[in-house]
Amino acid sequence: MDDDLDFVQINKIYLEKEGYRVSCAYSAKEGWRMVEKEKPDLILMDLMMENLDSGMALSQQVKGHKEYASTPILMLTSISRETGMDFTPRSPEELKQLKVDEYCSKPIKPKALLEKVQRLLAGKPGLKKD
Amino acid sequence: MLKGAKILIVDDEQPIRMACAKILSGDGALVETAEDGLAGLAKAKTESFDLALVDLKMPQMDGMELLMHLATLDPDLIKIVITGYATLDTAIEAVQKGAYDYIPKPFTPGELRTRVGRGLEKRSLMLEARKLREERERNLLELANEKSRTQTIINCMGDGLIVTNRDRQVVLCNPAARHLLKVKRPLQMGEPLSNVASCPEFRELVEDALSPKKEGYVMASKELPSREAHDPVLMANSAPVMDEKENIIGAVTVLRDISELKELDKAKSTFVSMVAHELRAPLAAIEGYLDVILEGVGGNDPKAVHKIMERSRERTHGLLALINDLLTISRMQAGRLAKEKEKIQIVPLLKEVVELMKGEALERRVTLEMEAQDGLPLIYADREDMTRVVTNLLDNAIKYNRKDGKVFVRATADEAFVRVEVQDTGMGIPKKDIDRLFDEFYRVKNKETRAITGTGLGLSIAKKIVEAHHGHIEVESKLHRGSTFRVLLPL
Repeated sequence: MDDDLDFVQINKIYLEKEGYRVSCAYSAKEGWRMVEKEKPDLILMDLMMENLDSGMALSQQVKGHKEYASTPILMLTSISRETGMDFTPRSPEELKQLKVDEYCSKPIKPKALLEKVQRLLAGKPGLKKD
Repeated sequence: MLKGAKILIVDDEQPIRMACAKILSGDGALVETAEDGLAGLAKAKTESFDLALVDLKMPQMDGMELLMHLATLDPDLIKIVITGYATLDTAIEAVQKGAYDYIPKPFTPGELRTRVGRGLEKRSLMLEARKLREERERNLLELANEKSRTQTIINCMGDGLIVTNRDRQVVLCNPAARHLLKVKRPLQMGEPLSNVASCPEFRELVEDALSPKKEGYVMASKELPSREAHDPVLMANSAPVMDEKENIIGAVTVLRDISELKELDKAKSTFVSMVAHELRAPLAAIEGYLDVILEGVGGNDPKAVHKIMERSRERTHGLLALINDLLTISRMQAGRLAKEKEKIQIVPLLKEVVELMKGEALERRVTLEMEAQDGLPLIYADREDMTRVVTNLLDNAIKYNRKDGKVFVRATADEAFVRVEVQDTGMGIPKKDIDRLFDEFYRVKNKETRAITGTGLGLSIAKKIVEAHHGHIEVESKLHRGSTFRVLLPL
């Protein structure tokens, strides 16, 4: 989930090449519908979509729902210190507070993102690549 | 001494009058004569004399009375009494009445010359003394004026001024300084500096000025941070005050409110970081697409590759547009906006832009239509700037339109304004976005605008240009129906 069309398209290509099935959403609202419909094994989401904290609210919603509470979330953001805001969690506790499993800043190379995806999914039992 | 001196001779005895006049004018004096006191006074009233020779015994106002009248006319007039009754009493009385000297009759020409000469010398000394006295009084007055003038200047200064002596006591603190330092009460002479300067940085600065650490010290400046949220940021400059032996006898500090400069600085760095961010996004996308193709990740489907290339080109185009907008902004900031104003016809300009945008419109299957009122008055504007405004509005009207949509460009006028309208049949602008629409880098973000590239600068540039022409820009919009941008340019 990301409102950056190009980021979604590019990473979708890389992920699909590795055999993952990828569904895309471009807003938090669309994202939640997608979660309910597709029940994904992993969610990649942007922190700031239609609103400054769309991603944050959505991750709370996902983790608060018993069916998806264990779905790993990788939060991405391009807001950084130079834009005057910094949400980067400084400790595992802060990361937990954000209700995400991993947090990383954009820009990120598709290959680096792939590695993170693989690591997050490695812990999930009963998952096999198509 | 006698040359040019003006002398009045008053004596009822004609032979004496004539003799005196002859002797004195022979020496170059300008002589007038009168035969009695009344006639003498009348002469003295019409012109001024340096010296008067007055006989005491005369019909029609005697010498004593004349002396008194002459003294009131000109206190510096030298009066010499001529008397045949040379007694000590009359001489004393005459001197008491203001006579400078007396000449007993009979007298010799030599005696007359000597006495008159001495009298004139006295006269010139008196005049000199009076001149000096007047000058001194004038100088004192000027000094007093100068002092109050300096005081006024110091009190009216926008910058704060504080003078402290060696004992760190405030000897001068102007109203601006009190205002900047938030001292509400009037200050007593000699209050300790710490009463005025609450922040330690200020006191340190004054210390540095009073006891400079190195030689050749001239001035030190320090930024005084604001203590509370709305306090001003101050720049303080301190310099020692020296006496004539170059001993430091105090320090003078000038305070300036630099809050606005700091704000500007902050705004500028925010802008730079926003620009960096906006430049990075499209470049990162283009790089990503290039990687996809070069690494062959996306497979070899030519259709997919073409789609990627098209999107890359679109983002490259957007990047160039951004850079062009940034250049326009830099041109605006250098104050080069609305600089080459001339009388221009708006309709041909509109037609030109419409013609230029036809290609872009065709690509998106949008038709451009133009309606202009006949005989529109000329407007006084910068042609390049106006072209930029119309281009930006048309560009948006095409980009945010629906397929097979329309754009209407209208030009009308009334007594005060020429009105240019650009109306589209596109997606419209959500209410929550309207207020920020003209902000730099602000873009409406939703499902429909996602694939549209833009810099977020077009409307902010248009607004700045229109306002630099003392015009006004406004927008009306209905969701899913379209938007109308209206530019009013004063005649």
